[in-house]
Amino acid sequence: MGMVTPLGRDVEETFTRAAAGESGVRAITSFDTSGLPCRIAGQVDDAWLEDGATDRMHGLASRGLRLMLSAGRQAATAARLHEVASRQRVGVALGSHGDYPSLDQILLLHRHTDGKGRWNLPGLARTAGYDSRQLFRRKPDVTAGLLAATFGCHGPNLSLVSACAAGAQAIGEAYRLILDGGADVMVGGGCEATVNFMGLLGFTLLHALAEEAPAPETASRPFDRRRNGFVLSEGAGAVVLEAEDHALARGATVLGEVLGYGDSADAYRITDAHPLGTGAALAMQSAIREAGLSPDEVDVINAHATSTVQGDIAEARAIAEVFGDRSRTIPVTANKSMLGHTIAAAGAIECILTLVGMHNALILPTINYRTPDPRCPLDVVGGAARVKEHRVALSNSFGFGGQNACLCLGRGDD
Amino acid sequence: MHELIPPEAVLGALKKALASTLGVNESAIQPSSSIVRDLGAESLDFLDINYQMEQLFGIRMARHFFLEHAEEMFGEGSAIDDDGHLTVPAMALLRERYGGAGLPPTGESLDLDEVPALITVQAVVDTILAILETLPEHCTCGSAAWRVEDGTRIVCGSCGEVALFTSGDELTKQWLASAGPGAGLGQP
Amino acid sequence: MTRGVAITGAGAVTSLGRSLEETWRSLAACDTIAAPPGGSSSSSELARGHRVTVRSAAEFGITAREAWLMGKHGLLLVQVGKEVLRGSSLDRAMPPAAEIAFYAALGIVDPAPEDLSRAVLDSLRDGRFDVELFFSKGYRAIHPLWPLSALNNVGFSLACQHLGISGENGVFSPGADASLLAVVEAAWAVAAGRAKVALAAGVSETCSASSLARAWLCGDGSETGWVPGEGCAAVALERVADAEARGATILANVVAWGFACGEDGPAAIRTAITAALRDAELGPRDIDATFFAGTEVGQQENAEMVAVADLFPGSDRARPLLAIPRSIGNMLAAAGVAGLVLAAQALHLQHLPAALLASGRAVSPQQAPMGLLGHERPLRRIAVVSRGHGGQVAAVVIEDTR
Repeated sequence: MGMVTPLGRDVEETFTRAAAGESGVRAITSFDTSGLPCRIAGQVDDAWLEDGATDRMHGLASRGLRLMLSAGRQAATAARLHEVASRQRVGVALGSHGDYPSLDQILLLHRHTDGKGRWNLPGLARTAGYDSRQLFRRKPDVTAGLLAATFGCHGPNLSLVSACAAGAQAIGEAYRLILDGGADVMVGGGCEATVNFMGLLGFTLLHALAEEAPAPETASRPFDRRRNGFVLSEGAGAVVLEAEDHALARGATVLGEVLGYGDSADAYRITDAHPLGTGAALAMQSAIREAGLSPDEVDVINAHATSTVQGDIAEARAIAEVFGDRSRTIPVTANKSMLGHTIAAAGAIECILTLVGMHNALILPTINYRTPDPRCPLDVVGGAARVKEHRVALSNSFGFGGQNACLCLGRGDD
Repeated sequence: MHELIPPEAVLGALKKALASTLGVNESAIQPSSSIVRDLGAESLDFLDINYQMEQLFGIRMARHFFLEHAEEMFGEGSAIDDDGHLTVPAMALLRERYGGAGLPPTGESLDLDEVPALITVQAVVDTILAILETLPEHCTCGSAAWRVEDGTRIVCGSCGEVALFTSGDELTKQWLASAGPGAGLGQP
Repeated sequence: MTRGVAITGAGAVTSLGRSLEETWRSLAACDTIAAPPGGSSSSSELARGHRVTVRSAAEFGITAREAWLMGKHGLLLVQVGKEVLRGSSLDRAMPPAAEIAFYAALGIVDPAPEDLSRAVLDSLRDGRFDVELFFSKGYRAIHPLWPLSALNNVGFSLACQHLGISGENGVFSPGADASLLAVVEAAWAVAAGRAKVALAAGVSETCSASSLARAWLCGDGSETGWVPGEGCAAVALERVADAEARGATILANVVAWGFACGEDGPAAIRTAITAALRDAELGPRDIDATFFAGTEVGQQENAEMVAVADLFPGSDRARPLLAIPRSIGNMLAAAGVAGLVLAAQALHLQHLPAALLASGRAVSPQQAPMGLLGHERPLRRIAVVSRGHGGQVAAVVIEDTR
């Protein structure tokens, strides 16, 4: 397992600080945000990024890639990935977007079009303004490709682009690939580095961001009655998934288990989740069923819970549909209260935090939960972290547009 | 200002935008129609309609509902209580702003979720008209010769600059500052 | 592993046809390969790319706003998805939405400069772009829903809505290998019983200044890269038993899959194909043709030619090398599935149009290797192979089992 988040350079630091209820959200420092309605985000300390110093990556090393390499390296090292002999059987599945084009590039290209569908490419070439390295930065599969090259993974290579669900989907697809015999080992995870002009602009236009708050640390308030949007963040998370017998045979340390994976599409509306949370419920039920369990055997839920008004309600309804009366007593934790929304990395980061929590018999707190929302009648672990033995957990990731992913996770010591 | 852009023009423009965005017949849109309940709008539609009105009239619609502004100006809990219901002062302000249609009898409260359904076509027209009313007497160039372009955009007859209106959010705050205390907001 | 998964429907929109049938007819009508061997594409081709027209959104009950959010890629998914559902007769007996899976490879979506130009103009101070002006005022001229139009998975999700699909799904991006990966994921969903039916699709990028600039810059050092082609292709997959039970026409079966990444070109291609053969316990002799979908294959010594020479020693007249014709352009994320669709069609009809031959020279039907194949033995198995630009290679073997 490996991660780099606004709360830490690795899994241990993030978990320790999260357990203490710290927030990684602060005022944006990487560019001038004067005039924008939202000026806060979860940012990763530059000192924690991979150097990206090798020739191959120089110039191609987008921030997202460097975050992913950092997380990937931690996971690969812990798993002693280099020891696996058959590299054909080691693959990579990542949730990532390429970089968004910068405004300069869009402007540059705009100057060389006649507005009727024809472009003056030689003219563009003469300006020498279009950086060819941008090509690689834009492509979502460069991260997966370069990660594979760095760690010598010659097996299947996938890039998932399903926004907020991508990280969980990547781990889910990696899990399925192993079960279906396509690989023995998979590096699964996700990265996001869009705390920049275009990234912030996009979500501001959609009115999706929390704009007002007494302090940046209080802006992300999943399930709180006064929540009003999410906080954009950057980060990366990676796990090394391995077929059980393969792992045991080579004496790898088992840190947890993926028991099941379920995913669905809402087929409802563009950003409004289905009011009954049907698609999300389907994903959770599939994950539980695939794990061979019943809803009664789930101990903890790591919610998607982005702190948007509608999203949290829909998730609460979905949980109620799956768990019935028990939905009011199953502990629910929302990591985004401290980390903000790391979009494509979220599913991976939260999967890891869930597993670490299981090993430490600790459920991470949901900070800023001061006034429970009566529309979300759940046992939200507010205030401080809760000490509790638990063996089975769900980790939810529900994406824009309605792609829902749910991982059913186990402690792995059976 | 009404000579420049009559209320009927605003209503006509809004109806046209609602019809094409929501896929309903213009003839089915009445001033009293609830945009959510009668015309089937979802949250994204409000973003879309507001944007279209902004581009048409050269104005800035409010990004936040008055209840959010009230909470910010008068403190958390002043407009919305812990159960998600509107407080007594908030209900009074709601009545003032949206009239009585669709509201529960005096003394009863509304859940926050029920508020969007109260927004009628006429309410949006009134909001736009209120913003247009803030047309300054003079353009920044000094001239007072405003004229209308394309039936909806007010520009200076001398220098051609577009008129600068007060933003919807600013207007809301001004209204709350004056009407809020009277309704009971800001009282200990 | 994947034996027992049947292709019961196929569809495509390419610059040669507005449906698979039309595309196939255009291909079959060509006596010669439709482009000169090797050499650079004409500059006018480069300046425009090969475009397709998509049917009007209203025809599918899609509103103007949804169409804008879905983009051409989303609309193509709906159009071809419906073609597939119709062709497979699934539209007359659709399983519940939750039991239909959908996997797709989507090309990069580029923001349209026109969507931003007003905001940019409003943010100019003394002729230069002023960030503060943009943040305080200019950005409001951008339509608030614009960010959604820039996310390709929004187009995918809306397509799911309009096709009546809510089961397991995934969106992969952006190369030809991702295309075949979508097919494999869909096949597994069906084989494992997690879905009754699975659609697998691939959609190209929409031609724009950005996509053309990328294609041009990716020219491997030479002036001309590839010529982008717009398009979309899709297949419907079901368990063979289910297809037979409802009397569906089976175009071909998906029988094997292989993957490789990280080795140099020819080695990765060899590894992927060998893995696929091993997966289905087949040998090189069991493959009747290889279809390279997504890369330009020509007379020049490229990785595909080298790999094939190693794997299938002997004359290529006995085992033709196929590719998507240049006149369709490079469809990137759509190319893998397009190749699969054309290969399945070839198997089903037992006919290989000369236009699909990648030998790089103009041949008449009499000279084409198909003449040999047609007489000596039927076309049974085709290996479809796609290579991404990051060195990923995917191979899928399909089989005619009549």
